[in-house]
Amino acid sequence: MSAMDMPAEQPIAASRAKAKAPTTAWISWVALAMMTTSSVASLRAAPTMAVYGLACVFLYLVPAVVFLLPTSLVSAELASGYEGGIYKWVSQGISKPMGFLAVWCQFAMTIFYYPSLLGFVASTLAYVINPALATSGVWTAIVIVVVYWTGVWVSSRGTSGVAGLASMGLIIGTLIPGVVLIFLAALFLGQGNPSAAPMDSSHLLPAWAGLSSLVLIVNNFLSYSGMEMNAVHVSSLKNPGKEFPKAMFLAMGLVLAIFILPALAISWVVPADQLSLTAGVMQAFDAVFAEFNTQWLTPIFGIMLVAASLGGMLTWLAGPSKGLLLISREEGYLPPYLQALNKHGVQQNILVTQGALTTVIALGYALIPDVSSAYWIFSVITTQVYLIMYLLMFVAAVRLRRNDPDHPRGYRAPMLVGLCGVGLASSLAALLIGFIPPSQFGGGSGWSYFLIVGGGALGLGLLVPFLFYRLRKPSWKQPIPAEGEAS
Amino acid sequence: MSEYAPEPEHHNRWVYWGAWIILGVFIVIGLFTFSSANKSSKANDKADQLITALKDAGAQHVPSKDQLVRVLGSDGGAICENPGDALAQATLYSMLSTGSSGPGMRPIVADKRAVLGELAVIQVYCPEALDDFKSYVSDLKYADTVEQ
Repeated sequence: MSAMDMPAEQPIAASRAKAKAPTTAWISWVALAMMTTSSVASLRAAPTMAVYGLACVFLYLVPAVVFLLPTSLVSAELASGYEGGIYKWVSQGISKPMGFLAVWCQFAMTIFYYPSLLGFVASTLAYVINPALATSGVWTAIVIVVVYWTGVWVSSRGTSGVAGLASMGLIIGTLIPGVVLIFLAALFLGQGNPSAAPMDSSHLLPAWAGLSSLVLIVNNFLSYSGMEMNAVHVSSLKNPGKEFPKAMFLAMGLVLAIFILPALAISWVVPADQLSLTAGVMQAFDAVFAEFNTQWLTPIFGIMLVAASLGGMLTWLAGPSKGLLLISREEGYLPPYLQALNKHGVQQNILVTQGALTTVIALGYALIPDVSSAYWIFSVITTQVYLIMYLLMFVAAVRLRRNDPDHPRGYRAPMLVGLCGVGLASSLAALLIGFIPPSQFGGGSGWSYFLIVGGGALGLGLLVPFLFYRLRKPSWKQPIPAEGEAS
Repeated sequence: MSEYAPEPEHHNRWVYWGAWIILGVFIVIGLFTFSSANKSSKANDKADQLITALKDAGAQHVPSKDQLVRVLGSDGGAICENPGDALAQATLYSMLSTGSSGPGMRPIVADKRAVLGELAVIQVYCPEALDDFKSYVSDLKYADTVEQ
């Protein structure tokens, strides 16, 4: 990592001279919309939701109204008025320590996300090449480490490359296969075949099973988490005030279409009982193609899904770490080593440190059976942590509108206070529902589950950032790179 | 994908080309190495047994025999590759989740039929792995969240 060439102690002029920051790397609003969509949606969830048939529309639309809409519109307003993303919004709306907490929560959440995402990549590649590899810990570990570090390298080259590859991944890995899937399903119905899932009004809603149904509906709010994440790149847009809201609206439309239409298409072709015959996403797609005698499409789809997953991973690597860098330089929350930039103006040492931690976790996931079989609990803990960020974002948005009403904003969300109220209530509901044990916890004690999730969320989401805050030093403060240099 | 800056495009051009080449190579490898299940009399017999097992287990929409033969063949396909292994368990657990494909993925209380099919496949195609598989699915908590 010889490119790490901007030590924290150097004066800004010298640092800049040494860094030779490139000319501003603009990205288009369409590219930003693609990045946002790529961060949030892919076809990976389609077989899981196809089981619910027509009710999958309800399961996506309700969270869209109460969570996607508030997060998207509120972050569109905030990004169109304040550059820098979540840390800046919460810093100015509430306080700087809370701004650090918000961006930490966004960042920390990703650490446990990568191993599961890359585990999916490894098992999909194995399915295509040799299914026996899917249960090989060594194969999984090699794929995770090689792919992750390649992603770190690409991210360290700047936002424009990430935007390009994320857009490519979205088009190749999600939009094209999604259209193919919908076309095949429409053809299936057009040939006079009845839909495998009933499409009548009595199946509009999922079956009501009390608390379990509530868990399903409310936990699905988080399907849309990440819509605000790419706002940290708003300074890479030429006209952020106008372009970011446009990017958000396009992303909202794409995310909804990607989630709902392919799931519905699969439910037309493959009966729910057959979907449960599958031990993974790829077998479900294979079952769809088997219906059309086009199983040669299965490996192509597999590789395309991998491309989409990797595009999404790149956006998560580039976004939260950049926000963490910005506030850390401003307030001296992280040691100088972690604040260093490479010659492209990218927070390379944060990425590398995060990479080292992720590698350890990923190796545990791949090679230690006890870790892999219990890994699902980390996704609960990290989503709890992420919800803290949303709570802070909605509070900050209301305070900024009240305390700073004349601040120029390219876009003003309609009924902002109401939107924030809905978003806040949804986030709070999801936080509480996160303490209800899911299937995987079996018959374990509810209290022990509460303690595991609560303790994990407090440790990761509050204790660690508190320690960084307590150990901060004024001498660690550094100038924030000029806009564009850090792109 | 930048529409404003030629420099970054040039700067990243070979990365994009590299990505296209890797994508192409993997698709070619996939097309050569991936094999759908072969039709055989054994595969037909297994499909018949599975259909019976699914009906006995209460499945309402049983898949066609042809489809089962194509996907599962005579050996159960990918389902029977170490189903009791920890990574296979992790894969199954990850599917008992919400409709998220990003970091917002969360486990749920799955429908009771979630593992019914897989259980039946293992029973018919690779019964030697049944005990291992049962060891972690029998303790899961289920509910009736899918409208029949």
